[in-house]
Amino acid sequence: MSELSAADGGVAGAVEPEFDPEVEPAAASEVDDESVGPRLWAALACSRRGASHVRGDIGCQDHSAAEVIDDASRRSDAGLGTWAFAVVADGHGGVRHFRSQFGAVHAVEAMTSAFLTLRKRLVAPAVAAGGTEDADPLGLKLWKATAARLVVTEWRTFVYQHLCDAPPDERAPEPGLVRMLDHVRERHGGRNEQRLRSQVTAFRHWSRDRGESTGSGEPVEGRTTTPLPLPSDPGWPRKELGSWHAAAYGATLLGVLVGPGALYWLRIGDGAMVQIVDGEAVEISPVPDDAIANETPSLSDDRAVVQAEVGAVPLVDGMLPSAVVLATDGVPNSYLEPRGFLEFCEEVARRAAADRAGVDDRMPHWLDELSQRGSGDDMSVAMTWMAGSPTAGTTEENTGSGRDDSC
Amino acid sequence: MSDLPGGAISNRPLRFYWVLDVSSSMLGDKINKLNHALREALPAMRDTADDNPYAAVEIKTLTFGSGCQWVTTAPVPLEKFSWTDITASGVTDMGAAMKAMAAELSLANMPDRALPPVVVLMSDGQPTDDFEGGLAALMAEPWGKKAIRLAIAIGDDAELSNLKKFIGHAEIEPLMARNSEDLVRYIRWVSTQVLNAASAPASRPIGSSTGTSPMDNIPPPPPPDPDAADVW
Repeated sequence: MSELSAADGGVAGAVEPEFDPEVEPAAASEVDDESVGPRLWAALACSRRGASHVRGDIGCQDHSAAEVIDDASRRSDAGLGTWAFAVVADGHGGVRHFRSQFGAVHAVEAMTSAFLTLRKRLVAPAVAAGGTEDADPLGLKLWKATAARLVVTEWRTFVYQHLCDAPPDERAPEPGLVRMLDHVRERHGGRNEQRLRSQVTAFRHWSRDRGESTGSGEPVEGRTTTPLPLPSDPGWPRKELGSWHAAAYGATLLGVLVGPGALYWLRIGDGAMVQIVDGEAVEISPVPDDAIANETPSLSDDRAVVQAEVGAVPLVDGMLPSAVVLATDGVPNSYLEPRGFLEFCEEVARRAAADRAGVDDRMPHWLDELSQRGSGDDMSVAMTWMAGSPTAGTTEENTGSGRDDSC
Repeated sequence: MSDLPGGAISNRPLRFYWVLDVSSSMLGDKINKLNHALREALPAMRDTADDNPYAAVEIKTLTFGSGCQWVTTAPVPLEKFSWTDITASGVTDMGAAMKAMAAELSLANMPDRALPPVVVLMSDGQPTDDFEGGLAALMAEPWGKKAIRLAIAIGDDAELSNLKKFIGHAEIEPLMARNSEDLVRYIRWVSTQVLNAASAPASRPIGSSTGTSPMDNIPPPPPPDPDAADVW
């Protein structure tokens, strides 16, 4: 479960590299594995409100994104080569997680931000350590040592910003807060409900007094954003403010970044992470053993950085994935057998390579049908696939940002 | 004709276990009322399941007296389940029942994608075997630990402390059925409101500092009937 675990080929004992976004990255040509050559990627993402959420008039708590980044894309950084990523996040729902739909959105934002930031750095270690035993030409060690902390920090920053911009207000409570207050009163008594109410009030005043919030729902201009402190942080008045804040946004997060020379992944929680090699679906990272019975590691956990699983593997000829497919747990949970879900991944990847527009068109319908006949849960799929190789004479352009259909 | 890729689709399994004391102290009115209550609860249980179509409810019953015995070898889909009257005899080997539940909820036996199972223990007495060892075996199983565990004490002689240990939740007490009306009411509550909550659970962070439990969303039980006369 550690970001440095030996099980995933981690770098136990490695010193976390100092992160400096100003350092100029190496050119992609300096780090590309010549035997692999450049590839073209395509990407799509789709999230759908689950059938049980439609019945219960609950919003979608999933979110997803997928994107191809190259010199021609809107996030252009010339010379870094072609990259693609896929991300899915699943808000927990439930009374304690009354803002988890936002938590999932922030999770995807945090992962995307980390991908874009680290992409520049992942090619740089070749210059710093090339030729030595510490060489990290593909940034594998750097990824493993920095990704989890960066993503969790980004997520907590987004969450803190959202909390301060729109602090929960017990005078005009949002429906989720009403449910939580009712739940606390029913299960823990009126005194605990009053304590929670006073913590909600105290946070609103506290954030305004510190200049983190205007108290009117408008963002503070020029505010320096910081991560939401942990409840154990000495600067956090836990008794006064409580420790419900991160949990309110609780979500899982899966992300994969594919670069010119390696595949980098991060998992915090359940869901599926699959690559297609030679037409066959293979798990990149299995669901954690203890993630059963609807329990899952969470971004909102105080120990999310150490609960995160991260890994990176070089792309080697003969073992190249033709596609990477990520899904929130509602998708695999709808298949009677695990193999049935892997067949879904294989078939979707095959169809995407042959007919991208067809998959774009059908994916929302497939996810709706899966939810209706299966788990009833919200559904997300984010995928990226090899659309061709210039050296192999394929002419298809790098394509696409993913879309997020309903959430 | 669906063009949905992949294998067969199905709703998530929700296993619901009745674990019933059939020791000789249950003879007579208690076992008769228990059979009656469980049979009569089935229509309401089916209605509740119909309202939660994304959970595939399956029932399995374990009885314990001198030893323990499964009534069916496999969980039975609720729509095919019918109640078969049980009879009482023997001692109260609740520990053996806990061990049988541990085996039933083993990782090898449970579907990975199952919803947290519901285990309802009913007893009118004190264990005559190693209850602590049996409970330890059950709680050593991840599915046992994450199950929704509830208990109904039948009559005043039931050993409440063990039932409380079985539930393992600071805020949930064993339900005290002191008469047949209470028993019917509690079995109906478990069959409907608990089943409803168990059918659509939210995700929960593992080992969270917020200390969540699958039983957190169980609605409060009905109060006992103060006017009921036939006290066991």
